[in-house]
Amino acid sequence: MAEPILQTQSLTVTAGSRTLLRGVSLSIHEKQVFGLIGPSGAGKSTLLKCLNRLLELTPALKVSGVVRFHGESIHGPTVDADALRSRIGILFQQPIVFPKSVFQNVVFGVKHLGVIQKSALPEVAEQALREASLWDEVKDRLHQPALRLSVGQQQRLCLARTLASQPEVILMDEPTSALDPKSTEAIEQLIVRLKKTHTIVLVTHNVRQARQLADQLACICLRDGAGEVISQGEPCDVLCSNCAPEIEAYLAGG
Amino acid sequence: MTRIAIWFFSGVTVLTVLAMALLLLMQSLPVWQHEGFSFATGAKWFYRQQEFGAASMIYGTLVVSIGALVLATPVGIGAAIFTAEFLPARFRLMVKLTIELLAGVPSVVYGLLGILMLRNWIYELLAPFDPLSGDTLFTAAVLLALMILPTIMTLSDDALRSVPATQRHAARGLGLNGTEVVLHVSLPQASRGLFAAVLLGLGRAMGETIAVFLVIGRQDNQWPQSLFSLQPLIESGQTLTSKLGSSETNIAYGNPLHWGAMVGLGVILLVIVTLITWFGAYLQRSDHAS
Repeated sequence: MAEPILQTQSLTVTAGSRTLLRGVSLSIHEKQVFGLIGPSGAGKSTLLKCLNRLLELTPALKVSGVVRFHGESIHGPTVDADALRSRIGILFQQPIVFPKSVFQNVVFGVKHLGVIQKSALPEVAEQALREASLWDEVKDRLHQPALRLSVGQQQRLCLARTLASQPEVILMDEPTSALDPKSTEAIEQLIVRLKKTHTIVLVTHNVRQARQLADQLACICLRDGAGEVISQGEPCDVLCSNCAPEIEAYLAGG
Repeated sequence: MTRIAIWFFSGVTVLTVLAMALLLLMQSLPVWQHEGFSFATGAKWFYRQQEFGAASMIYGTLVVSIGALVLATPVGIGAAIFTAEFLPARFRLMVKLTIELLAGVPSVVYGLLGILMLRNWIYELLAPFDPLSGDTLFTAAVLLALMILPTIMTLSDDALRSVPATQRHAARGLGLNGTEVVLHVSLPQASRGLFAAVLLGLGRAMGETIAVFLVIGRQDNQWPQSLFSLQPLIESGQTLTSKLGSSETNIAYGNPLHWGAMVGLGVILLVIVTLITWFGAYLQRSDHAS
């Protein structure tokens, strides 16, 4: 198999004397959906935020271990964390739109990268909105406040905003848990489409979603108070194997 | 029961304020009858000739407080950006408490420090422009800037902290660096609160008496040759408050016209400060609504 685009080796996150994540080693391959499932509080979101160094903005958390992006450590001395975050985009659980117009929201990130002429921004915005299947719904109100959109539309707007920077990887932190079934379906269809061009790391609570969308799956559960990867591999292997009591308990409860 | 209590106490408060305003207005009536509207626009104040014009004091008040604002706003908002955006939470509280303590120092202490240090320092600083003394509008503005700095800083800090952390997080997640997040997320979203902080600082500067009184030189009838000239800054002058704080207030009592003129100064000050404070409070309250 080809070299993984993202790889973690014995990644550990501690907050003071408490360990949140212990010894996580994962390999995430290009143009696949990598699913992360597990019970609440097991550290799925924490792990996700390690992958684009967003976690280091939270003080008092210490990350040790290695994360490699294209084979190179993202904690290396020459790595610009801000540039890294524009290549590894993130979508949060709740849509976080800026109190600006739809258009300004879409170009918010890409504008600051400084690689695109101002005159090209409308084109970039249209393309990103099309990619996020939102263009037809908002093309007539690009300059209205984004906060007037429905929550489902807001989440797709956030996705468009991330896509506008043309990231290679998109981290998704339970992107559908705040949405109604219809919007959830829209996002799920998008994930299937986007995987042709992007690598996606999807944190989800939804076992059906994981089974349906993920090419590879890892299950994170709490062991001795810290999140650990209990098993990883093909979704059916992870979800069917009864090798670990935690997974069984999680599946039974979920 | 609660409703009655609320109505009662609100009523008492409103009535007290109204009664005070009415009293001041009635007391100042003679001067409005004598001078008409030129009491507010006339620049000459010679009480022995029964000539009362408040304009040079209004001018002094505006120059001193706006000067203070120009000096204190960048520093205050800059400090607030530092405490709200970059300082770890535990230090932030420490710094904020210390700065708020400064707001509680009695203004006469600031005034004495002004006489002790600021006056000579500014006299030497302005030496190339040949000022008559260190008691200038500029001295008063610098002193006021120091006094309103805590107000501006602590209210700006509150305004910046009221911008949700998720907004900053989302922007960082898009690859913006810390500075860009401050410039394009925090400051724009807090702008109304910041503006309110500055206005409330302005209100405070305008009402301040004793510190200004001690360093401004209290020279009557200082009307500038041009409204945009900077020359008055290095000369002595008078503000509405420094005039009211002087012994002329005691002399005036007993002569209805003169007394009316003094109270009239108070009415003008009250109107200006009330308008500014209301506007500031209005902006601050509606900050979260938008």
